[in-house]
Amino acid sequence: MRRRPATLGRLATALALALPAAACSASGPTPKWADFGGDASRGQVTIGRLGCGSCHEIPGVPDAHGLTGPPLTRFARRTMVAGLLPNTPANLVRWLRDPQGVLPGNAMPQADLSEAQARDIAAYLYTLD
Amino acid sequence: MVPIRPWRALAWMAAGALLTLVAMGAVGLLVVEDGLFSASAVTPHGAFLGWATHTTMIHSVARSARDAPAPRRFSQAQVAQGFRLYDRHCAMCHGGPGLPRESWTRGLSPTPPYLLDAARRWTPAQLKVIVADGVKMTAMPAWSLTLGEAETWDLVAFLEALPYLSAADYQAMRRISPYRCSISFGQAGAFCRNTGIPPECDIGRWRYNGGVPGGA
Repeated sequence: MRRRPATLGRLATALALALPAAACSASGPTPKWADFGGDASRGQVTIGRLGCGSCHEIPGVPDAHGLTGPPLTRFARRTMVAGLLPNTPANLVRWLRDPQGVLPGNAMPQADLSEAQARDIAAYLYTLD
Repeated sequence: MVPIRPWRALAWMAAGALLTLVAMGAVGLLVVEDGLFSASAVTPHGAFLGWATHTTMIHSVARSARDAPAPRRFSQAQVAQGFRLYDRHCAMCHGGPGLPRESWTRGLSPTPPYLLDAARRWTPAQLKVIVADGVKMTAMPAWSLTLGEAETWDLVAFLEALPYLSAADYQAMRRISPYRCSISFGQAGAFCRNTGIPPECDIGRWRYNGGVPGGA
């Protein structure tokens, strides 16, 4: 009985992931982050728990309509992270774990994230095409 | 031609409605009595429940604040006092500019939001309702039970100022002596321009610096 919500949640996740992918078939190839480790669906949950959505617009994350930081829509195609680092998996993970070290004094808080958690979050953001 | 008997159709409909109600009641009772609904906070609300609770809260707050009076401007002294209350009572769950929440807040469901843009989403009267009354089925307390009326308005004053504070500004406010009204946002600073708060306090111990650490 307790498994039912999980199944529903997975369905919702699949829908949330599939819908934007179907809606945005923009021209040009998406950068491939194929060999990049990280579990996108786990990352999606972590993003929700960390409250990233109170500052960022994040497709597929409930109530993520923040107006403080930049929207993370189509993140897989974005060129820069924080307007500073080229958008690569290594740079994104570095930024997520140490925003104050990368850009001291910016508004993004230093959440206590493990390497694995940051990789999961990055993996989810790279599903946003 | 078949004679129409509307009372018959009505009787069937009534029976169907009754049966549906009984079935719904039985399912509802099962959920409540048999633990079918998991109260665990490990998995967040599903999409529907999340939408239903959050939307209900938004409309409830809007309704409560509809005819509530709110000051049209706040003084810097209110902002300063509000900051002290916020830093002591709120920052652990809601963070601040460049300031993380306590790590255990990620175990709260629903998760407490950062409030940097709260003043862009809510009116001062609505913020006052949320602070004073709290939010059921979340971890948000009703602060009117422990703070005075003036103090809850001080918190609203600070939330109105929050979109204009950089991470460096927030840390600077922490360094200011808590019992002196010595905050000047800089008369030409964006804070004063945008909020219309008169620079009542005189000493420029720190100034709004446009988000540049150590700048201005």
